[in-house]
Amino acid sequence: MIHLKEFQQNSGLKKTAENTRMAQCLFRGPKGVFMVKLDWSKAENVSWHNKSFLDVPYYLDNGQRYVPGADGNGTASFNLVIHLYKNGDYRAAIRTTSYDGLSYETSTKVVQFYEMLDGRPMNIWYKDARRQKIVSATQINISKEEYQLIKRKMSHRLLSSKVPGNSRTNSFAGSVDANMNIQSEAGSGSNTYDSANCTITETTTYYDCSGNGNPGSAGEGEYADPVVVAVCPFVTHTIVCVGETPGNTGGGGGPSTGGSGTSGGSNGDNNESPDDCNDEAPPPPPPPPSVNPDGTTAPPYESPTPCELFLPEEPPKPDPCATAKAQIAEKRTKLKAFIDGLKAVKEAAAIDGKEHSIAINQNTDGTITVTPVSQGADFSVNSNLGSKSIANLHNHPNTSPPSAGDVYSFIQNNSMLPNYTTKFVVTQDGSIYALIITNQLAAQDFSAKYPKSILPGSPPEFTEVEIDGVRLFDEYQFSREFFRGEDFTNTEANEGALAYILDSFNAGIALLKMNDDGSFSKINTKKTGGEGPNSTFVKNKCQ
Amino acid sequence: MKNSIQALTVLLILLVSCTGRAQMVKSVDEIDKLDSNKSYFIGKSIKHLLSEIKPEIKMAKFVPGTPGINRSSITLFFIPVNKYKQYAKDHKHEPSYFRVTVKENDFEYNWKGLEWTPEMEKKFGCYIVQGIFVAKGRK
Repeated sequence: MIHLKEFQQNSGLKKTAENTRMAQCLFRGPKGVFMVKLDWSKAENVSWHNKSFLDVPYYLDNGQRYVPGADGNGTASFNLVIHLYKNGDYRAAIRTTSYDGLSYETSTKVVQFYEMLDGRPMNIWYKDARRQKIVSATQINISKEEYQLIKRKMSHRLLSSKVPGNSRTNSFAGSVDANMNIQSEAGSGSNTYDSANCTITETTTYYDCSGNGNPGSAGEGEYADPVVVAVCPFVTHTIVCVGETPGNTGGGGGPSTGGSGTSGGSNGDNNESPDDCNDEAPPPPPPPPSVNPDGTTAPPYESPTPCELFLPEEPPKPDPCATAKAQIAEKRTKLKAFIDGLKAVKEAAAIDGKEHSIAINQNTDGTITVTPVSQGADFSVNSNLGSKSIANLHNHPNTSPPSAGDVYSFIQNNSMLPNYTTKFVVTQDGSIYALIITNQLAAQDFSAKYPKSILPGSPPEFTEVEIDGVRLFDEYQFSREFFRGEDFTNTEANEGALAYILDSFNAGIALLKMNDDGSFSKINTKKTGGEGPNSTFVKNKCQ
Repeated sequence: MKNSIQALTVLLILLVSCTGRAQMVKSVDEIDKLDSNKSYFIGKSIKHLLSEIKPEIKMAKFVPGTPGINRSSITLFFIPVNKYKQYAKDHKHEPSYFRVTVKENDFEYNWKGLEWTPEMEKKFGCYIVQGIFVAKGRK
């Protein structure tokens, strides 16, 4: 057994040389292999059921916390979770957290997979939009075809299953019959779940593809190197069932068959050591990251409650006000970095009347900093963004809200910098707007479907070309003209028209405006009737 | 005397060939020729562009540019203002039009449509064409 100090020392040595090089070499973009490496500076001590754990996040070499999903799925993050024993020994596992959104706080479904360092699966935890606590779950891997079949039938049927006793990365080699019975060829125990306690998910999971793992022989010292892990995206179709089952309440069994090892059992053993415990006893899910990229605090962690009823799955309700995102935007404006940056931009603009910008960066140690003010031209400015940017701000030396060009450059930069999700614009009259990414994939699709209209020497515009029976430029103008006719100011008409384009053509971006009290409200515009010059619209602000 | 007659003859031929030459766009159906010959018009005046269009311009929409935000453009239609809305209602789409992007922005925003007048042609005729977009109405 290696002691933690030795482990950390070895890690430090490796991190400075070989692993840094590996991480740089093997990072191949969104759909390739990712190398993630531990950031000990962000390690957190976690106490759970009188046991001590150390939770250490992995980061990509470029400082990003989240790895994009494959095939249009969400993102994932990785942590090394070390169970610290009283005698100084430890046992470690890797937690993969798979999100259906861009980060923990923006996701409606979060699935956490625990694996031992040799790749053996341990247990799985689940949270969705309707339950704000993460709970122990059981996972059954299924094929895409099974996923589609079950999706159609699942809502009213009882789901009987044999739970595979081993790897989550093994495809479920079974079948689904007309009565929704799933027969596994690789199962070791039979469990029955009410479909009301189960949901099916299509998520991106990641597996260790570094080749260091040694599945099946987890002897000490034979673990894969946990300091740098190569992970490969893998689209997983899964049935996730929550709650103890009649056939699995007595404990024991494999680590992935019900999660009883984490949720029940005796947890108050103060003399615990690896020898006292089942080698496969999994570590508990530690709390979510306490500090999000924008400096906000994540929802509090609650202990799993295995017996809690799991409500039937419903599609996540749309949030027309993008409330959570609006709160993030507001919190970002409370950051000292933002306040300092805004002041600096305003002062610079007051002197020369030109555009200026700053970027707000989150450093690897979690601190938030602001870049120096970037000097722009009369009507353009460098975005000032870098790999650590989470937001930026620039001024318009007039009262114009964000332009089509602002939208397209935002999408383009966000595609390269996934943590960059907020673009602030301050106008000459002091109005502050925020463009926020509500759906990165939708934003990419919007930009691809409606490419910006370019004319050298002129600002970009929404496309004039007819796509699916619509000319975005004309739609924008119809909306703008309508609001002008309704006695809105020119600025308000422009806001309404931009919000109409973003909302109605699924741009994955919301337009927000700061209120007098510093909060942000999303501007909503909908077409209420007519076509072309006969169109009518309604515009309002979320409260 | 002989030289004078020859010069007069050449002048007459030139005059006839200029005034009598065919315009590029003879009907609204040929409006897309403006797009395929875009490079011929860019950098020249709107007056020059209009001289190549036989159908009468009857309506215009104006979007004045805001530097760094949006471009200045004048959108020209072959349908009068009083029939425009009804056309869109009956046909479920816009009639044919072409849009000229210009540098100047000394006009008011109007997307409802204004009657295109000789005064407008005189004022805006001097503006230089920066870009052309053609939208052909459906049959």
